Amino acid sequence: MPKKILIVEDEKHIIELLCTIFDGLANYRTIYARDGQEALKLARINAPDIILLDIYLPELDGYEVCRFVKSDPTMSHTKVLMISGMAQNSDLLKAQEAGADDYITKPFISTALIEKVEALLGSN
Amino acid sequence: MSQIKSMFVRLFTYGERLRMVAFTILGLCVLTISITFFALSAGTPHMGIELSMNNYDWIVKIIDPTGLASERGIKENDKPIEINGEPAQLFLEKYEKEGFVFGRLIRELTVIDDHGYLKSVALKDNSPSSKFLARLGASFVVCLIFWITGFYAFFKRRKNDAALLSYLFALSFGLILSANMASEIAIPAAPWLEVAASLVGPWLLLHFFLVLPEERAWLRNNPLIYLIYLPSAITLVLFPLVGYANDQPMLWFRTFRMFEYGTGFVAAAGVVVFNYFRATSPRTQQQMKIVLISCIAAFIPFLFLGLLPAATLAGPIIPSEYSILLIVFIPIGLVYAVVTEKLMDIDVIIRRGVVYGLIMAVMSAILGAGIFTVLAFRNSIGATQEILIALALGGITTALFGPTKNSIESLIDKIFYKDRYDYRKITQSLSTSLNSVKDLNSVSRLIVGTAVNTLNLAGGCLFVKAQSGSYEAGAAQGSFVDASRQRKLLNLISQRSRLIEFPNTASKEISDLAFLIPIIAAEKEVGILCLSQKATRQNFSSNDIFLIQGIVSVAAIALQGAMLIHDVSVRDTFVSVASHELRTPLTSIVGYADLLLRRDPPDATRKRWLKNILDNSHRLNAIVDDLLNVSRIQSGRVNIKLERANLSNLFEDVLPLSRESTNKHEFVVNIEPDLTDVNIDRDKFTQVVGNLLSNAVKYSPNGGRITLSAHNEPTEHRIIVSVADEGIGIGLEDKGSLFTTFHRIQRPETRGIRGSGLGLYIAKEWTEAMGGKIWFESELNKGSIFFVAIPTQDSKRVN
Repeated sequence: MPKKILIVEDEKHIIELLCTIFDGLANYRTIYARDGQEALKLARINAPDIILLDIYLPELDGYEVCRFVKSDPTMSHTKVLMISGMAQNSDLLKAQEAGADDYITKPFISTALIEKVEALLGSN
Repeated sequence: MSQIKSMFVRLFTYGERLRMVAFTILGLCVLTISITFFALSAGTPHMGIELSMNNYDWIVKIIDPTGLASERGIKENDKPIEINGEPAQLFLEKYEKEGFVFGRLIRELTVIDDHGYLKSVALKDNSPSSKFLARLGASFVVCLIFWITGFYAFFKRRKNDAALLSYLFALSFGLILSANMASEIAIPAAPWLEVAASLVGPWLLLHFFLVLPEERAWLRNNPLIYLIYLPSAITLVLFPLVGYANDQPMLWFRTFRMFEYGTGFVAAAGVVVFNYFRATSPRTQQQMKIVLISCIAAFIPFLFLGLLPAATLAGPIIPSEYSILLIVFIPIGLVYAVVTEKLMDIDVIIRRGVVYGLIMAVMSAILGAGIFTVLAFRNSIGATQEILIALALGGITTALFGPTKNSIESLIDKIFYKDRYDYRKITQSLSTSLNSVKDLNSVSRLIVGTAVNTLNLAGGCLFVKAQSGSYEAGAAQGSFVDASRQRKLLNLISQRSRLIEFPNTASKEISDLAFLIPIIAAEKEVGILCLSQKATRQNFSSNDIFLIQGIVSVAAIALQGAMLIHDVSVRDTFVSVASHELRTPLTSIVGYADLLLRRDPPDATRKRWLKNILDNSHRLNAIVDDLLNVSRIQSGRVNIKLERANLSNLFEDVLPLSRESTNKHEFVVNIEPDLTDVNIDRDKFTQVVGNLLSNAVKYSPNGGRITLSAHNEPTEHRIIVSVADEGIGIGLEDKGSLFTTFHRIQRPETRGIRGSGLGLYIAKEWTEAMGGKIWFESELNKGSIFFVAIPTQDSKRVN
């Protein structure tokens, strides 16, 4: 059964990029949300295996979405991989505090991202 | 269009002139009548008596101390025997219904007093009493002050309704006083004019106080305001119909009239007090304070030196014929409140009055004691000794003047202000407070606040030196809060010479500036502290100078620390924002390039991916340009190439780009067709408007309207370009720092809106470099309008 990936990102080029990366692989299916509120709604309905979560989002930012997901017993098992253009240690620390399972900095190449996703889902 | 506009301007100007001419003619007519009344009164004697019926018996009821009857010894309760050559009973028969007769109907009178003595008086062949002439003179002086102040206000503030009302009030007051005199000497029209003027006067005053405050501008043109004249209109209609008989106002009408104009005065006084306590603008409060003080100055001596002694002692301290002179404080107060734009600090004047009053009292006491001593030994000393004693006394008084003045000033300071301070403790406490704050604004506020509050200064301002070398206001208090004064201070700072050292005094431009102190840390100027004179206008003491030196030395260290923290924070923000903004387009470029290498997509997909790479490369390029521009601006390397251009053509370049960036917003273009050519840098101007339009798109909801407008302002020699949106608006917390680097509005609704926070900073710098000016108006959650003014004349800057 293919793994469900919820992509949360407000840049349409990056959404298309992420969807293309994972839809080209046989064992993944992607859905996407463009803001924090929509992300939580889709996460509740679709129960994704992993959320690729941008930090800088409209409505609710990535940290808040992550906190909501991890504090909700029905979704807390969902893996969260944070993606951000902010590359300072403090940003990484904030992501950890919010409960993110891993963190990848923009820009990235597809293999690095796939590796991180597989590592997270493999350990599930 | 412009013809219609100029027609309106002409009509308006014509209306203004018409109003001026009409009211000037009215004023001159009233003035002529009043002066005629005074002149006639000065040459004609008056009886000054009122007969009244008491238990079917006529007696002298009221006697005017300035009339001929009083001068001839006629007193209250004397009984009339003969009036105007006929028996009193016969003469008074026709007035029995009314029960009283005015003195002016009586030309000859003979009375008998309780002791059986007969007293006679006749107007014929007599001149007015000296008391009457004194009263007339005093009344004329009061009227003169009313007229001068009224005409001055009217001509000084031609378009001001409050000035017109104070002018009309002055005319009506003059008419009341002159017609009152004239009615006593039997000029037939005088009582009518007196009644009309005294009925309308208080309501004019009420009208004045209703429209004077600037916050009541809405009331000025509201026709409902004229309803306040209803009581006087009713009373005036009643007067000829039922209130006047036998050449005199009827008794009941006099009571009614008194009630009507009493109500008017009470209403006016109520509005003054209401205005004072509910005023929102300091200007209104100050105006009301001036009026209240002038009213108090008029009535308190009138009460304590006139009315009260007259009721409790044998007579008034100020003779009644002169006490009217005190009324002159009222027109002076009214007109000062209307005319003045630079309000006087009435508190300071009162306090200085107290200081110098006390000094005078102490010095007079010393001199008085000396003179008394000399007088006591007058017989035993010779002329030489007298001269020597006088010289010694003069010397002692002169020597004592300085210490007396200082100790009284200190005493007043203690009473009105804070206790004397210990400058060491203040400096120490400032140092401790500065240690607990780190941000530049709080540090600046503490420094200015300590100096201004401890020294009772009228104002203070601290300018902090920015990295670019320019000065920015860090904090301001009191009279230096005003932006125009800060601009003048900045001018002064830019012109200052190294020869002017601390402490320096006064510039001609800012008369109340006392000190302009450079704050130097590690041999580098970090700021400038500007301090005004003391609110009391006293000189600075040596203690004050020590305190200023202490504050400046503590401020230097604190400012340097705060600026370092500020620089680090700016650098952190720069790194963080730049990193984020650069990485986002880079992700698309790297990601799609990576996919193209790894996969073999169909042609259409390949093209789409390549286009994504291209779009994001452009975006990356724009961000790098912005960052380079900021770097150029901050290092003073701005290169502006001014050329003559028509803005309409430039809008055609920039608008399509903005329209392409969104299909969710409505664009409205409102460009005046015949825009004057201007000298601008085309690229930079396009970038300014582009940045404003881009922000309007970013911060407006879907469906929001964005309006680009431009119009000539020929009188100001400039073109105004504006970009209006229906977006989230700008809150108070963002207004001050909107044009600074990396400033982003941090509100829930701005999350996810991309931007470097450099656009407005660059727009401001480019606009100013082209001699223009940029500003905005905004209402939270309703939208914002950004204005750019570009000069139309060569080498001129927009003010």
